[in-house]
This record gives sequence, structure tokens and C-alpha cells, in this order.
Amino acid sequence: MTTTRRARHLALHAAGLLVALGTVQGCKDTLVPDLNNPSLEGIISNPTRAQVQTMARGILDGNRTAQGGFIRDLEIIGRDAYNLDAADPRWVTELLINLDPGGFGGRHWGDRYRNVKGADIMITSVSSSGALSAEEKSAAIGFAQTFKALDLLAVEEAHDTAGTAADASATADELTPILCRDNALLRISALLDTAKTNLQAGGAAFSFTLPGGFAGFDTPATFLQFNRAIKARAEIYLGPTGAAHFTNALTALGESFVDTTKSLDLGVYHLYSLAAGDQSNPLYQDPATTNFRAHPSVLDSAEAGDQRVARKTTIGAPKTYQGLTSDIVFTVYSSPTAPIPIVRNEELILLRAQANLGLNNLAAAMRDINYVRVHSAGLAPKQNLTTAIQVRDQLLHEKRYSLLWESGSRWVDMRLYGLLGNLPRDLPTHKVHPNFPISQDEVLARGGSVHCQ
Amino acid sequence: MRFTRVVLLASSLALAAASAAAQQQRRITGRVVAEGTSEPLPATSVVVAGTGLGTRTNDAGEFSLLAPDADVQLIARRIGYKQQTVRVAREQSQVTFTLDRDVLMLEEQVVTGENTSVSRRNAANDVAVVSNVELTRAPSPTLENAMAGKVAGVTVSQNSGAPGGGLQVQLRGVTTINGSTDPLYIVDGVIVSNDAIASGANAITAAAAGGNASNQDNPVNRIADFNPADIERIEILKGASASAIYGSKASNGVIIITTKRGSAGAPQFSFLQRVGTQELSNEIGSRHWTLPGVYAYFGPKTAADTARYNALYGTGATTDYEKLLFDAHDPSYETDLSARGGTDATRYFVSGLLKRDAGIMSGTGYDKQSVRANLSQTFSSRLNVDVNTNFIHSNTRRGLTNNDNSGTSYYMVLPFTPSFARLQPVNGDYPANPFERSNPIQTRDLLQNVEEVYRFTGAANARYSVFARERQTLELNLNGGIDQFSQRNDIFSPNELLFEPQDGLPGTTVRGAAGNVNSNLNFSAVHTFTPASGFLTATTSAGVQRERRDLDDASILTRGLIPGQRAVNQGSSVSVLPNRELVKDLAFFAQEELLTLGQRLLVTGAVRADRSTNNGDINKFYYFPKASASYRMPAFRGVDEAKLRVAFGQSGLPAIYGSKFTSLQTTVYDAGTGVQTGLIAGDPNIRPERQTELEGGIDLEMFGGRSLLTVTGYQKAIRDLILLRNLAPTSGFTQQYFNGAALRNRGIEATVALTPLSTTTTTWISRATFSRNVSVITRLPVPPFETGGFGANLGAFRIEQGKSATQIVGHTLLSDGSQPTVQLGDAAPDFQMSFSNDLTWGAWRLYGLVDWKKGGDIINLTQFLYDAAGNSKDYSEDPNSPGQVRFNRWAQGFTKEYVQDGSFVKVREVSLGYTLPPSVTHVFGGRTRSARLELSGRNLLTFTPYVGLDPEVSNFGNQAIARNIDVAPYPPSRSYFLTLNVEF
Repeated sequence: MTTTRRARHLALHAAGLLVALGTVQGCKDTLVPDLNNPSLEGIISNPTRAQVQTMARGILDGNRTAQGGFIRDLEIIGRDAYNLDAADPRWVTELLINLDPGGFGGRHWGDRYRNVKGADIMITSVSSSGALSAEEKSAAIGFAQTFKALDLLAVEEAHDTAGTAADASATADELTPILCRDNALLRISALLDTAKTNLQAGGAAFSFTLPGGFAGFDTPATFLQFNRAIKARAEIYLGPTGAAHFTNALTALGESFVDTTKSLDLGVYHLYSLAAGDQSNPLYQDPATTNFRAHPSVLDSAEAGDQRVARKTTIGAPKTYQGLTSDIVFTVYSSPTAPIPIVRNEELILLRAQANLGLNNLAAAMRDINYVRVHSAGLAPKQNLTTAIQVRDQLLHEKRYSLLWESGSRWVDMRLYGLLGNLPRDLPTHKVHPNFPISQDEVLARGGSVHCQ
Repeated sequence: MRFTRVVLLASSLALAAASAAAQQQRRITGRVVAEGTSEPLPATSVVVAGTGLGTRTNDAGEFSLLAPDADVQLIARRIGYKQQTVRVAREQSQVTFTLDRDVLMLEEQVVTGENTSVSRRNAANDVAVVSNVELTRAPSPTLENAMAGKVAGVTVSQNSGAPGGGLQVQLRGVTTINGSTDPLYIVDGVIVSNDAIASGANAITAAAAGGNASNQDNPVNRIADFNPADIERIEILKGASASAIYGSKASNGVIIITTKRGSAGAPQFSFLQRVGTQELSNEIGSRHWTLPGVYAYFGPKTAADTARYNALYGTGATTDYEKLLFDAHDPSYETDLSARGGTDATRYFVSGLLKRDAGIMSGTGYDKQSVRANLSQTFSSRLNVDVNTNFIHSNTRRGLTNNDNSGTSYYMVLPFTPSFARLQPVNGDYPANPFERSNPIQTRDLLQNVEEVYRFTGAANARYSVFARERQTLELNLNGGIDQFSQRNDIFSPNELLFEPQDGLPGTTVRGAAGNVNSNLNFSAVHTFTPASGFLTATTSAGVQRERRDLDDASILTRGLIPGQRAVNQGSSVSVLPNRELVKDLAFFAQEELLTLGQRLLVTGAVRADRSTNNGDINKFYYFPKASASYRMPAFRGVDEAKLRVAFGQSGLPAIYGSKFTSLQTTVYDAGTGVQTGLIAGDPNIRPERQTELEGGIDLEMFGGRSLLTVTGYQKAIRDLILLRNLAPTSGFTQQYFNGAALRNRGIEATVALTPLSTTTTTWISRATFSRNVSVITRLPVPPFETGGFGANLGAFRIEQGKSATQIVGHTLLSDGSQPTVQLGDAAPDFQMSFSNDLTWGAWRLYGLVDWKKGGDIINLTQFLYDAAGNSKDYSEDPNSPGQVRFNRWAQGFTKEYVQDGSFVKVREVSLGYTLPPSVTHVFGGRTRSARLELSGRNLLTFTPYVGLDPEVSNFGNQAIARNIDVAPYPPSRSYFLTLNVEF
């Protein structure tokens, strides 16, 4: 073999070795991130300001997603509404007869905890942010805790004595305890107070912007008024366990935006739009064909001349399904982009009346009730109600019409006062559910049965 | 990475040893001829045993090669002939081989490893081989069609009759529940893509909610691109016991495709021209309506209503809309020209293809052009390099078929359109269909759904013989290649289409663009050792492989087009649907084969280690072992030879892409974006599904090589199947991926090949295959769940422990009035058989292939739609008419009415060929070696009790479980071709 041939061989061998090396190198470039979606890992630590913004908006949207169906279902069970949709008999067979924990009965659980989980992620993430000041972190955490409490309160409103999970679980295998009604409310109330502390330490502005429905409540100080409004609801639910809670509710309302000098519509709203990816108002359907109908008792029980009835309903073509008929169509929302309130002044005035009723301050309660009668219903004030029962019944009446098709409060309030038996049942087979059962998937994951503590 | 270093060290040591051992060489020349006729045999491979040295014979059957300066063994091999080994003494430089014909292919080489193969005589697995001759006896629309019915245990099923492909290849039963169903396709060493990318027709059909691209779009899976005429052979590894060397990708089996190579000598051309046509081979038919029947069904309530139906019914004149829509007989053609030739050092094979398959519906069809250039270069006696390149373009038009929710897909509209409807255009105006939202004639004429693919596949393979001594050889192989394609989908549904105003945004256009690049690089070393005693040959191979797959797919959907415009920015609602998948894999393997006891016993052991970015732990290697043995027993009582074989192996199926990620979901609120946790949690520990296969069998060679019987039994147990489990919703998620379920397939396969006649002028080869596979879900850690279909009411597939993986369930009504969901059928057939006969008599050749499937149920929702519309052929106003009875029983709760037997016997391929006598072939020029005329047909006859269009159907495309759902498919066709093939 000549020297050149030998050299050529060596070159070939060297090339072979290089190729072999090339074949196995690259042990380090194997990480392939999630190329289609943002990853949890990407936001869980040291988020940028923009990432904090997207987390906040995700929580707001999660709450919005759950809210529409929540109002609809509670209004149906509370005999304010029907959904006469022939495509799915369960709107009647479940909501008015038997709730299936694996079907419609399990609905107001998972979406809420998914959003609670989102709030937990935001709280963990924001704490490690280098981009936010200490005040901005505190404000962001206060925001997330307030929404977490709002979602947990909705779970409590729907499930009541069945129980409410204390929190979202950190992993799928370490589930949090299911709290009984009062313990759940105490925890929610305490969480709102923690949020208050964080908001108070939150400086002058959030590091992120809130949607237009939060106009006037979009700084830590003004958002705190919204937090206190939710706190007042929780404390009123706790009222039966001790009068101090009604006092707490009045204190919270004092720190909220309740104000008889301002518009009754002053408040916090979820907005809707038809833009790509956005949501439209789930409680709106075209009035000509809508399946959403008011329960006939809405008109039967109304006082003549109640402007709320005229504002919120109209008579359309009758619709019949499964033995139920109604020709009353909701006009609460005028279009698929109409906003839905989360909480507004009118409710707060009535909550103040409710707290005063609990403390037996009947005159103070009647002041607020009559304010709503005059300013919202266009009716004359009630003068000669003297017993707590009379005031209670008047409060429940006003609250029903003031919050018709915008909150599930009628069913919740009737339950609070032990009056579910008074709700009308249209057919002998119909029932008034006291609460939603815990979702079947949750029960199965907990070994088939759940006991609250 | 310690293992890597060891391999590198070993190979560099070997290289060094080789350099030291420079050898003297000598030249040997000779000839190869056929036994009996003494015809020269060109393109015969002649190699020096135990070395990488070798060449191919020229036209005159002559060869010349370099060999070590010692006594050597030369082996001559040619497909169709039995190999011959001749000892050539050191001083001898001339040799002649006389080869016997091997009509049953007893001696062909079959793959055993990355760069190793063994004679079929010794193989421990039933590795099926499909040769070029078998692939091209009758014209086939795509490659998969050409494999149908040819191998026991390989089920090739059409998803519809649409031109251009869309077929599922399943090897030995169900191998996954949620994972990919594709076998691993390897073309000349490169893993090629078989992706099926949806066209986006769902934007029109709304078959899946939300307007996302869906798997009901009747997509083409991309293996359809390859030209069967370029293929020398296909080897099929049906299960883990054979495919373990392909590790974590091989659970669905491996299909190894080798394309044709050049051979030394003057250029040899092959020209093939096919011309043909096709026709609708089956119709559903529809009801014969009478006016009282119209009243009874449509129930007009007012006089005006009655008048309207009277007017619609008119004189009762009918139109056969199926025939009207699917009555195109445009010419189909295929032109294939190839050349091979070269010098001893440089050999080439080049080919070009022009093909058009016209559809039976005007406006549909499949055009393909392909160019291939395969080069082989011998740089020295040690170094050989092959470079294979293939460029393909295809254009596919498949219309609008399968399920819809918008009244647009042809066979979704026809059930609701009575034959008295008048839909034919009048002066260019398409009348509105009074019975559905669209006029299918207008949809056919105006809607465009075009798929265009450009594909390049290139592979380079270098073989370097480090040393080749009498007792030891060492060869290094480097193989690399890429497979790249870009697919463009263009759907245009203009404003004037009658169904377009439905969403309030008339005019829809979808532009899809997908790009995929597969690349891989393999390095391996093969060492053979034969001790002086010659007692055994030990072949040791080891190597490393890297693979990368990158799919980037995005489609833009625009609605509310400006009239006449089709650009994606010319509409009022624009949305983008992107998807990206990137996978990087690395694998090592080592294998030891021992051939001993006079080449009677073959023992193999191998292990492969794989890691993949699809797995939760991207650095963890998963090991897939294999062991096999075969023993050839000498002749006894009419049996020339009997081979007993047993093989065990494991292989995997990659974790589902993205199943390890816990993704966030993006939302929009008040013109800003937000993120939320997704509904499905990933499993950070997700790992490949793992199959363990045990295969055993016996091969009997009888009557002097004129008969071969192969019987194989197998069990495939698959565990770690990826499932979704429901989570406690308080975890923030609803479901999570996890490895949990297990299933098992047991089956038996048999192949008989006979040559009842074999003389110098007449040969008759007859083959039959049989296969039966039974699957069962052996472990299911979640409650039984339904997969595929449209709910139990309409028939669905249900995964349930202890039951067949492909059971079909549905409702039934019990005497107590309850309506439980029970098993109503099974998509898996009881057995499948095929029969082929190939008779050559002088210049004539007659060939036929019949495919028989016994059992296997289908959910016939196309018939359900006809019944629901009161429009079935056997439906009338008589409540006892079969159509009414079916539908009423279904309405009472008997889903069984629409779960129907899908048995069939299909005459798949028939061809009659005539080799023109030399006196005629001179017309084509003096150099003409042969010229042949052939008349052939595909899918000429189907015998089936099934009343749908075609028992080969899948609304959801390729599916692990939920095939056999019949919803408005593209109807089947039969095709006829006249072929001229000239070799010169």
C-alpha cells in the first residue's frame, strides 16, 4: 500500500469516526418543549408582567365561563326559569326531577375547581416574580385570592350541606378535605380577609389591567370594595350560626360600594363579545326562538306595575315541552354581547337589608327594601310591615325581582330561610332539590363516598 | 453516555486493525446461466462469501470481481433462482454458475437486523416478502392496494372508494387503543412518514363540532405517494418477535421497502403504458315513491302543503342521483419508463412515472408524477455507496364525503332526497333542494377540494469493508436520509352554493399547509466469524440510530367571503388552526446470530435501547430484547425439509405526542388573551406501550421444492397501553393520560404455495393464505368506555375487560322495558383468506387474486340515514316493509338493526398477459428484448351480504379500534386497464 492510499484510508477512517460521533452526539438537544400550547412549567416560576396579565385574565375568563350556566341552573331549580330545549330532556328530567351526579348534577364543581387551581398557580407564580414590585405581588395575590373565594362561594351555594372541597388539590392523589357547609363558609370568609390584607398592601395599581366590566374597581383599593361585597354574601350565609356574622356583613358592606346615592347598576360585570375566541352571553337567546322562559309564577306573583317585570320579561309565543308551558321571554339581556353582573349596588342594598333583618333592625331593613321598591320597581314603599317574618318575605320578594335571571340567589335565599317547600312544583313528579350532589368523578376518586368535616 | 463511548472505542479499534491488515487481491471472472435453458442470467449478484466484495452480472450473464488472494467461496444469487455456492481455489480465475429456478422463493434473503439478513430457509420468523412482480401484476391506485390480499396476517382495508389512497394496513390485529395505528415504514433505510393530515373539509361538513380539522375528512395517508413499480421488494415484520430490532416504534409491525438498484451493463429500458377506465361498482338504490307514499311519509296537514307535495312529486318521474353523480368514465393512465445499467464501478436505476386515476365522479381524481434516481458507486473493493432519490408530486381531488352536520356531503344528502326531486341544473341554475340544504350536483360542480403534495425522499448508504479474511469480516454501514413533504390543501366553497348561508357567513375557504421532515442517521458494524472448523458462523452486529421527525401544520379558515374571492383575507371571519410535532429519538442495538450444525440451526439474540422526546423521561432508555431459534430438519417421507422455528421479542409504540405535557389553554376576554389550565393533565412519567410477542411455526418444503406450507401461531401481549383516566375535578383537571391497560392477540396464519405444473413452457403457481386473530382486553384499570362511533344508540366500540378489543355495543330492549347497552357484534373478522393463481403457458399468462373476509361487523349508518328519511330501496308505506321494520325496531331500542355482517369475497386482481412474438416486437426496434400486452382489472367483483356501498369502509379513517363505521363514504369503483410493457 502506497503512502497516498494509506493516507486515504486514514482519512476515510477519520471520516467514519466523525460520522459515528455525529450519530450519537446530541444527547443534550433532546428537550422538546410543548410547541402547541403554553406550558404550566413556563409560567409557574418567575413570570414576566405579561405572563401575570395572562394568568389574571385566565382566572377572570374561568369565572365567566362557569357563571352563565350557574345562574341558568340555579334559576331553573329556584323556579324562576325553564329551559325548554327539546334537544335535551335533561333540562327538565334532571333539574326539576332527579339530579344525576354523573350528568347535570355534577356540573357546578369541576369548572370552579379548575379556576381555583388557576388562582393557586397564579399565587405561587407571582410570589416568585422578579418583574413585579412587592406591592404589585401583594395586589396580584389579593386579586387571585378574591376570585378563588368567589368560585368557592359558588360551589358552596350550589352544594351547601353536601359539602365543599376546601381547595383545589396540589396533585391528583392528595385531595383536600370536603368541608361541611359552615366550615366551608368560614374558610371562604377568612380567605376574603387574607385577600383584603394583601390588597391593602397592594399599592396604588395592579400590574395588570382588568376588563372593562371592572371599571371603577380596577385598583387594589377599589377592587377591595368588590372583595367586601363578596365577603358580605358569605357572612350573611353564616348568619344562622351567630348574629355576629350579620354584624360582620354590615361591616363588610360599609367597606363595599353600596350606595343609595348611586346607580343601582353600579357594580362589577362580566363582558361578552363576538370576537374570535371570545364568549357571547350564554343567557341570551334570540327572543323569537328562545328556549329560556320565565316560570309562570314570575308573572303570577308580581305586583301590578312592577317596572322590573316590564324591564326583564315580555310575552312571546308559548312553548311547551314535557308538560311545561311558558310564553314569558326574558329581556334581561338585549343582545349576545350584553354584560352579566357579578355583583351590583341593588344586590348590596338588599344584602344590607338582609343583614339588618338578621339583627332584627327591621326599620333599617325596610328603609333599604323600600329604596329598591321605589327606585327599581317604581312601586310605593311598604309601610306597615312590623314582624320579622313579614320583612323577610318582602325582602325575598324584592330580591327575586331585582336579581331575576342574573343571579341564582332566589333558590339560595329560600334554602337559607328553610322555605324551599314554598317553591312551586309544576307536576307531581317534580322536586325542589336542596342542593347539587358532589360530582360523580369526585366521589369515585374519593373511594365512592364522601363525608364532609 | 458510557455505552456510546464503548461502541465508538470498539469501532475505532476495528478500523485500526483493518489498516494494519492490508491484503493482496486477485480478479475472478465468470458467467451465470439458467439450468436447463442455459440462458445467461443478467443482474445476478455474485459475492465472495464472508466479505463485502461482490458485483452483478451484465446482459451476457458475465461478471468480473476482485477477491482476496486465497481460496474463496463465491455465491451467486438472483431473485427467482436458487442460490449457488462454488469454491474457487487460489489459482483458479474462471468459474461458471448454473442456477435452478426457485419459483416458490424458498431461498430469498429476509431481513433479520439493521444490516443483516438470512436465507428464508433459515429465518426464525415468518417474514413475509412481496416482490415487485407480485406488486405489479395488476395496476393499483396506490402502494397499499398492491399489498392487499397477498400476505397472511396483513390486513389492508380501504377507508372509502375515493381516488388517491386512504388505506389502513394492520398487521396481526389490534395493537393499541389510543396510539398510532401505522406500521413503521422504512424505504431504503429511511423511516418515511405515513401521516394522514386532514384536509379541513370539516369547515364545510361540520362533522366534528367547533370547525376543527377532524379525522372524518377522508384523508390520504402519505405512504400512498410511493410508486409500486420502483419497488424491488417489500418485507413485512408482523410483530414484536421480528420487529424488536426496530424497538419502540415497531409495535404495529415494520414494512421494509427496498427500491430497485442499477446493474452493470448496457442500459436496459422498461417502458410500460397502461390505459383504462373505471365505473361505479355498487349503488345503494332508493325508494320507489308513490304519491300516497309521499303523503304518508311527509304528512301534509293543509291544502297548501298537499299542493306543495303534489307539485314536488309532479309526474313521478325519477332520477337515479347516485348514477348521475358517480357516472364519470374519464380515461385513467399510467406511463412508467425506467432504465438501469452502468459500469462495474457505477450503476444506476432511473425511473419516471406519470399517472392519472380518474374518479367516478367528475371533478375527482388523482394525478401523480414521480422521478427516481438510484445510484450505486463502488469506490474501491472496500467501499460501496448507494444514493437513492425520489421526487414525487401528487394532486388529489376527493370531493366532499363522509359524515356531516350541514347537509353537504353527497351521501348525507342523497338519503333525504327522494328520486322524484328535480335537481338538475336548468340554464346553469341549480335548483334548491327542497329536501336538504344542498343540491349535490351543484356541490359536485362548484366545490373544490384539492390536495397537492410535493415530496422528496433521499437516502445514502455507505458500506465499508474494514477487513475481509477467510474467517473474519468486519463491515461498517452508514445510512442516512431524509423524507420531506409539503402538503397543501385548498378548499373553496363559493358563496353561491346553496348551503353556504347556513352560518350567516356565505363563502368558505380553507388553506392548509403542512410540512414534514423525517431524517435519520444510522451507523452499524457487522462482524462475521467462522472458525477454522467451520462449525458455525457468528454474525455480530451493533449500531446506533438517530431519528428526527418534524411536522408543522397550519390551516387558515375564512368564512364570509367577498363574492368571487377565495383568498384567505377576503372574508369577514378568519381563524387559524396550527399544530406542530417535533420528535427526536436515539437508539442503540446489538445482535448476535449463530448459524451452526451445517447451517441447520440458527440462534439469534438481540437487544435494542430506545429513548424518545415523546416519553416523560427523555433521557431514559427503554430496552427491547429478542431471541429466536430455527432448526431445519432433513428430508423425511415426501418432505424435502421441515423447519421448526420459535421467536420471542418485545417492541414498543411511542408515547402519544404531547401526552406528557400539562398544557395551558389560551382564552380571549375583552380583547386580551388569558391562560387557564387545560382539561387534560399530562403524565410526566408516560412511557412507550410495550408488546411482547411469542411466535412459533413450522415450514414444510415438499415434492422437490414444488410445495411449501408455512404455519405460524403467535401471541402478542401488549401492556402499558396509554389511556385517559378521570381525575377528581378538585385536582383542576378532568382527565389524565397514563399507561395502564393491557390486551392480547392470539392468532394463526398459514400459507400454502404450490407449483402443480412446472415445465419449460408451462408454470402454474398457486397460493393460498389464511389468518385468524382474536383479541381480548386483559386489563383495564378504568371503567369500560366507548370509543369511536356516535354513541351506543347508533352503535359504538367499547373497551371492556375480558371482551374483544373491537366489540361493537349498542342498545337492546328487554322484556322488562329496560334498555341496556350490550355487545352486538365485533369488527374483527372470524378469518381471512386469499387465493392467487398464476398460470404461464408459452406466451400467455393468466393471473387472479381473490380476497375473502369472513365475518367482521359494520355499523351501517348510511342505511340508517336512508331509513330515517323513509327513502331506502326496501322502504314503503307498508309498515311491514323491511325498511320501516328496521327503523321502527331501532326506534324501539334495537341498535342491532344497523350492526351488520361485513363478510365479503372480492376478486381483487385479474390479468391476462400475452408476450408478443419476436417477429412482432421488432416493430419496437431491434433492441427490443420483450414486449407484452396485458388486460387487467381491479375489484371486478364483490360478493357480500352487506347492503352498504362497500364492506371496506371507515368514516373515521385509519383507526386502532373504531373502523367499520359506514357514514356516507365515497362509493367504490371497479377499474379496467390495457397495458403494454416493452423491455429494450
